[in-house]
Amino acid sequence: MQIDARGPRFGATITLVVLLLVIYFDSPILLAIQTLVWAIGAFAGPHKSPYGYIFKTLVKPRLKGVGELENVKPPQFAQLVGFIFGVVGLIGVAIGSPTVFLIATAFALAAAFLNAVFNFCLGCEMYLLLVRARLIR
Amino acid sequence: MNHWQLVLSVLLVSSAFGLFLQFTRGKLTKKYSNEISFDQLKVGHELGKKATILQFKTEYCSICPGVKRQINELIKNDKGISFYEIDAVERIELAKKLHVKSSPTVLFFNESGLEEGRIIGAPKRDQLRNTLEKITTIKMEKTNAN
Repeated sequence: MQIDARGPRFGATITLVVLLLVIYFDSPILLAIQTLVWAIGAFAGPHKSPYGYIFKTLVKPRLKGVGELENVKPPQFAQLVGFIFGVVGLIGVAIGSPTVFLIATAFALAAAFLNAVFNFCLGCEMYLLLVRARLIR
Repeated sequence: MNHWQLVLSVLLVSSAFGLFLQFTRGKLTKKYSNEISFDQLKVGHELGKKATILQFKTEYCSICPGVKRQINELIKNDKGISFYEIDAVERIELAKKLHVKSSPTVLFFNESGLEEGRIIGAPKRDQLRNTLEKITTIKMEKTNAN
């Protein structure tokens, strides 16, 4: 399946703002909401997540030109990586470790920043390294 | 470290990393497999008469289809240049042998099957054209010398 390549980058920009708020307000609730968004993106597809829906209904109709299409799998994998960071952060909250919560959120923030500003998909880049290291298939 | 210092540190490190990637990606870099010829690699494809391009992709590489289109467009009128796309995960041993660590990685082999260089990330169009011209010119010069 092909989606508009601008959608995931828009989603990464909103994610970046949300994660900044998570750290500023030290808010596990916001991280839980963001983790839910990542879960929808990872398991149903980024185009079905709330950010994908906002992009499709509010942003895309106002953009000029036709965006390049891309396979849905790379951004979906990126959402899965975000989801893992989110779950680790929430586990940190559950076990009473603010350090784990902050470090996991900081990693997710870095990944969202690289995606939003440099269009660099950290999760997609990690994929081949993880396969080479035999950590995943 | 307070929260703002953490945010600032993350953004600074990410910016530096992003700028480093922008500066280094898409440019012709050194070859890694000078000692191994195309035939020895057992790629499973024929060597091109003038040059051979191998693009390593993964299914999670969003820019790979665009790079493939770009290369196909550039070589469409040159039958002497062969281009093959290889899934790095399906051919993980080959990817390891060629030191391929990210996708896309585009490798250029000369007519003798030796690697002339590689481009990691999306190649800039000029870089791609210049590299191909360099490889095919070497062949033309050798042919003329004989």
